[in-house]
Amino acid sequence: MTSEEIQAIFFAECEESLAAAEAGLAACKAGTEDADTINAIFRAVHSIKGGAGAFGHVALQAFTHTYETLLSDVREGTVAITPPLTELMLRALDTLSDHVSAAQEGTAPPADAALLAELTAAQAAHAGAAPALETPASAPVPAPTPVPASAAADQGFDLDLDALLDDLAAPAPAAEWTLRLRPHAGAMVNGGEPLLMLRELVSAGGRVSECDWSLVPELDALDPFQGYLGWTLCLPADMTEAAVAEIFEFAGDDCGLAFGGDAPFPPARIVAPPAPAAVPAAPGAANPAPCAATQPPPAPPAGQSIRIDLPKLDRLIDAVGELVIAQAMLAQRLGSDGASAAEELALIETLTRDIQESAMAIRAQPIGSVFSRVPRILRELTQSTGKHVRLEVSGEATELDKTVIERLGEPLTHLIRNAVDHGIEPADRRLAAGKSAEGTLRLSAEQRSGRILIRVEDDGAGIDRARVFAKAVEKGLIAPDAQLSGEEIDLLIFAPGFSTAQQVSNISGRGVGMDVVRQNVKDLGGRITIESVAGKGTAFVLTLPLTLAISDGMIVNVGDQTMVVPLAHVIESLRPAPGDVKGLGARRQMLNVRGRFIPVVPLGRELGAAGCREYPEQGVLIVVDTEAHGQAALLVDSISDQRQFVIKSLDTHYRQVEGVAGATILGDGRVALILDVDGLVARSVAAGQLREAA
Amino acid sequence: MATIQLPPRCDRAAVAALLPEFRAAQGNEPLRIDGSACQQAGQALLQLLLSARRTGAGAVIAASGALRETARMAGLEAALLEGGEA
Repeated sequence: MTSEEIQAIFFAECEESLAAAEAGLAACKAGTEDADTINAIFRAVHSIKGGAGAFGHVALQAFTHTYETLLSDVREGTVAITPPLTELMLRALDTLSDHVSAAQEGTAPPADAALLAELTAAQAAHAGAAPALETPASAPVPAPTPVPASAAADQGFDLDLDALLDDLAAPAPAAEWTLRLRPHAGAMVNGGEPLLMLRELVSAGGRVSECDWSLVPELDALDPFQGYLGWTLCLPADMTEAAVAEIFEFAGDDCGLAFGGDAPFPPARIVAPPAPAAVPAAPGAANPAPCAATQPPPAPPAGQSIRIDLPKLDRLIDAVGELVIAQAMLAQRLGSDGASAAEELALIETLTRDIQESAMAIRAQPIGSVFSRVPRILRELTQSTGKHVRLEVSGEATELDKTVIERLGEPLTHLIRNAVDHGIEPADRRLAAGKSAEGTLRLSAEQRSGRILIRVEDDGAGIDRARVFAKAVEKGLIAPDAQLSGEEIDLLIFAPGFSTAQQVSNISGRGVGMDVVRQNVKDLGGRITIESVAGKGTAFVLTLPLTLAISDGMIVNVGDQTMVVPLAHVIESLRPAPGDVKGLGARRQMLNVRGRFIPVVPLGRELGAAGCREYPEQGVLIVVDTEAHGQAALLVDSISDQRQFVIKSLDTHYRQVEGVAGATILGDGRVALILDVDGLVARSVAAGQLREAA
Repeated sequence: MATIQLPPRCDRAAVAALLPEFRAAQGNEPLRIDGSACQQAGQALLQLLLSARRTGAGAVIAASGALRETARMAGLEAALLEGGEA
């Protein structure tokens, strides 16, 4: 593994650390923090600092050092958490995030001198007042000045920081504690390098007091990839065991750790080479003796993980997709030979599904990683609009495909900006309307019948339909005498080039946001709908697929075509009795489903399939649920199967086709179209209404 | 006797290649190891160098700044470089 690859892992971990710190500070803001919260924030900043030091990102390391110093005092209770302090720490987190981006992209670090001074001042102010701190009362305090990052060379800077720490800690020499570390052979494979972890401990203020190399054999007996070395380190008091364990998290039990001065060395795990002289003469044998087998290494941290390159996962998903197709082909072949009920076939089907679900689960990520960026967006919006917004988040643990997660950030950001800029009123108008001065933005995610529902909801004024209508007429989007329902007027805001902002702001209101949002969501195979109530607020509801690759569907025949109805939409299928279907108007037909009438959508006619059945009584009706138009009954000739299908994009291979969501390959090798049920029903219902109006 | 040159990047692959060379070079005189080009050293290399220091007549190591810094950081500067540096 190259240092660039290791650095890429560092930056990926930085993102996780930033998200953890953000979550912790959100708890501080809400007043729900506890000791674990503060520890988590400290650990997050601390691990960024460690990596920054190891990779020579001086400015990042300097900033995290000052930030961490303040957090350390917060953790020890010498600095109290107050709303202004939380605000300061949140701003510091934003700057830290910018620092990480700058280090990653190799650009100039953000200007942080003023913020560093604020952080130092916050720490110093409380430290001066706190009797517990070991700062000498009379002597001038050398530390609380901003660290000049620019002039410091890498090496010299490290020394300065260490000296600074030493100065602060000097009156309390007993504060250091001992860690014994023994990396085993496994810590040196797959790109692992114990020295990097050792360096991280040193960067965090630790120092090696002794390296026991007594187990290193002579050259003839040496296997350089066994772990012969053991280190004794003195670590600063503010470094917790948890922080150390975190550094070694990836090494798992391949690194033996023993905490505290009395703990013996974790025993070495050297696999003796076949050569006879395996056991070396040990000049310093006093040290290793107690570690022979006295204490097992600490249990590996729970929840071990590995990192995998995304292209490797994509190849796995592709292969699983092909496996699904091959399995369908096998089923078809066996079926034609009269062996479709073979037990082995059912077993293969179950296994294929298991593999597919496991592969998908590897790609699944909690949506919290997207939601965690929202507080910062809101802070920036508060600064630029003056509107204070409280954030309520639920369902952060809901998991969906990584690709969906990655492509969700942009539309979600647009929606949030839109909600704050257009939805939530200024404080004076809110107060006049009997609302609290602070607006509320609710973000929620949940899994519902194979899809993910994400709601972005504000408690603002709701969509001003009269103004939207007038604007749409003015822009020539609709005729002045158009008859539109409230919901249809709401949907006009997704029209390209539409904007109702009184003034074009730099946040939203350029009229490019909302149609891009809808396109982004459609590109993900999802839908977006609006629920708006005047005076109460607006909710944007995004419905997204769990995955973009494989789904369950009903294989149906319509005339000379075979099509797939995604199972997520299907409620039931039935063969109607003659009296179940009633005519309405010129050509519309309604199906009576247990006393409720729903429109019948003849698929063959909608899609122009030749030779299809025209009358519901001759075919099968599939009752489906849609986002915008409730239930409808799709008229097909027959249902031939229900199975998994691999989604192939029609846009990529051909072009976008109305009413068609994609294509798939059937067991017999033929291509079948996957129906866009929402689009088809919406089109059919709209056409029916127009016919009736005519 | 010949001096063994350490490459700039002394990772696992480099150490695996160096080990037979180190074994073959053992003799009555200390091994001479030129680490002046070494910019990156891992635990495997440190163990190889320590083993060489321990074997036979020992080894004399010329260290680059990076190698010396790594040795110092790991608490092995004396064990590797003292008393016979090239």
